[in-house]
Amino acid sequence: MGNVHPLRRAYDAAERAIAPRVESVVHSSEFVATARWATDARARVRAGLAQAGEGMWHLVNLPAASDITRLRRQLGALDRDVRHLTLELERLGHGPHERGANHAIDSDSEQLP
Amino acid sequence: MPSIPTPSNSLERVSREIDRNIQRARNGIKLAIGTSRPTFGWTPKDVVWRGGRSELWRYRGPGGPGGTPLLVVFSLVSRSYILDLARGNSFVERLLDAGFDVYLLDWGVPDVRDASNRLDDYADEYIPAAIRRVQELSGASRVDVLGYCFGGVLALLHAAHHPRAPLNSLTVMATPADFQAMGPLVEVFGSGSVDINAVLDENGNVPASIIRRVFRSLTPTYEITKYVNLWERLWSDEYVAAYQGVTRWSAEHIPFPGAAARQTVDMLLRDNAMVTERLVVGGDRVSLSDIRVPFLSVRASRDHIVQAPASSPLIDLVGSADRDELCLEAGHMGLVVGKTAHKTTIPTIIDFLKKRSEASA
Repeated sequence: MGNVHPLRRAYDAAERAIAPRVESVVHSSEFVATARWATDARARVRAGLAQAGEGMWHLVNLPAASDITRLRRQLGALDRDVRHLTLELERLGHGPHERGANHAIDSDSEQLP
Repeated sequence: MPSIPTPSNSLERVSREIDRNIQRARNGIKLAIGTSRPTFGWTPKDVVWRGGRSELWRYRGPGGPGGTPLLVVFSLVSRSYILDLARGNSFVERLLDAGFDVYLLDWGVPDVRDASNRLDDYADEYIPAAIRRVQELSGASRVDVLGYCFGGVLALLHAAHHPRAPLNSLTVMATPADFQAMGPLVEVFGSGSVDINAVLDENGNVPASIIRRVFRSLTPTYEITKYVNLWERLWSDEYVAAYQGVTRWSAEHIPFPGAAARQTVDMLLRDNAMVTERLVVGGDRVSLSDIRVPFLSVRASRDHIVQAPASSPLIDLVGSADRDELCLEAGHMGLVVGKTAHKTTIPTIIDFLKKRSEASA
């Protein structure tokens, strides 16, 4: 305590006073209501823009962003099914990591950028 | 009684302050211009299995392979390099030094292909595939599993749905069981106030920015306090390196697969299924009481993310006869990085694992 800088002591005292109040705001029903309003508003704006864009692109017989999104998600679901099958094949011993395949796929000491 | 300052004490204090101010200036300039960028996840490793974006890494230990295999299952919402922050401050490094053959199941960065991933996929497919691969490479019949944070949830779901899985022991760290005690998450999503589907991005995942905002809302003043802490310890190269690691990790969340997010909200948050015995995994009703392997729960008393009321019920929910709990004076990250981790958490986990390994040998 004796080695603590006076400015640090002052900050800690202020933080002890303010933090509970700020946290109570975050835990309040008003904050939840605001979060819900903001989320709903964002979703409505996104849906409105998507609908407007859809109409325009479909008029000229071109796919809209929503069509591309739907297609990507379908491909994603298909990718999941393929992964399921691959893992099942591995489990049955027919996959790339058959018993006895005792080697690394990728030997690198991965360095983050 | 305060000691009377002597001329030599005062000179020493002044000299130390001058040195520290020089160090502060040097480190401050390095941080400001970005020349000091430590490398994280530095321990050499090999990718020994891939499934989608997920990878199983096998770390290269000082003595080579041959130790007791330990599979670490990481969380779905953050980067795994927090377990391998820097030389001398690495959970993985300590496990390797203790003689373990360490593997880590890293989930990568989910994209549109992972939006349909359910919790069952991780518990019933990815974790068993990783365990099989560990068995193949290590030659061991049973594997110790350690789950961190939400990785612990996945490991629990796996162990509960597969009571005959080849697990030697199960350890979870900072893992919630009572999701109704998860604070703002319950208030926002658990009550149905905000529909989880409304926050999904165009890929169908919960964006990293939303996850970051949720975590920041748990300790709103931390954004300022961290700079105050940094100013105070700016003279310490070790502290600055750890600060950079923890700050970067806290900002680098990853998207959460949409289907898994829906299941988390419906089953874990609203139904509070771990506590109310309403867990459904792979279409089967399961219970944590079906877990019978030796079990250790490590929790942090100052964990602002998984607070004590959320993690403390876990020890009484599992069915293991050999079960233990370790509650430490630390924060969520402090369990795996920093002094408490290296003095207490890691030695206790190593001791627990070694005793169970000896018992099963």
